[in-house]
Amino acid sequence: MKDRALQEALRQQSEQRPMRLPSNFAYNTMRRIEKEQQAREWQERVVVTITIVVSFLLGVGVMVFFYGEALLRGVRSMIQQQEGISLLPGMTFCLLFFATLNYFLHRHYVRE
Amino acid sequence: MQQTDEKQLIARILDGHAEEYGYFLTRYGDDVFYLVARLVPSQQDAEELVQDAFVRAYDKLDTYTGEASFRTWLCRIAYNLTVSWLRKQKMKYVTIDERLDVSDADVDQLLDDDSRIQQLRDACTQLKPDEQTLINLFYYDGLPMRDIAYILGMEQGNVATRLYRIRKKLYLIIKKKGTI
Repeated sequence: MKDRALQEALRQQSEQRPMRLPSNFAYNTMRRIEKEQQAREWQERVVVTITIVVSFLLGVGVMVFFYGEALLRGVRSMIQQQEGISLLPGMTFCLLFFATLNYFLHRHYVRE
Repeated sequence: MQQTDEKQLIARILDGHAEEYGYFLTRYGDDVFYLVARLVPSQQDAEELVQDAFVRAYDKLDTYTGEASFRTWLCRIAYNLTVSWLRKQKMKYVTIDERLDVSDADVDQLLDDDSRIQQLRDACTQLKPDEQTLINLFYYDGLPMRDIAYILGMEQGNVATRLYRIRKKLYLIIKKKGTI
């Protein structure tokens, strides 16, 4: 066989240092993977929350900056008119209904 | 488990069954460890590097395309991490002027000479990490050229050329010590 001495040298070198992985290696590594995954998910959640809050504030800011007076006038006239106020209970009910529906659908279909 | 089964297992892990990754840790942990332990002096550092490699592989699992076996893919990740680690440790390796004229017959004779085993062992420790890995994967693990090329990130055609140069380098290291 070619390079017999070199092969033997490599074999002896490997066997001279009989290092082994500890028996709990798999367990420890899985724990580390789990922890890092949780940390990453938490970080992603924070980033998403911050993005949503900033976008919302920006949106509101832009609305107020450009249409602030018009909106204020609209709200005032709605309050003054009896018909405008009568719409509020219905709108509140719809809002609550859709929020609850969203909550249950999210719980049912989105896996954490 | 065959490569197709492993691909299915990877798909399941990516689908949320993270706990099934433990299979790869048990199956290939030692293989990856042997690759790293040959290059890294301490057991503890080798263990940490192997763990880093498995964590990195888990993070990049969605990029595994199956162009090599999962074991080979893991070895490549571990090898790259180890080389980066060794670079940070600023290890010193022997450089030899490979342009020196050496006859192939002399190299063949030396590498077949049983009385030179100890000298060859010493010479091997002076090789660069990629060179040590290459000869170990080729001679000790008996991996095919294709897998060696993938792990070391080189063209398959270059493996044989590299091997030829390493054999010559071993000869020159021993010759430099004046024992030839």
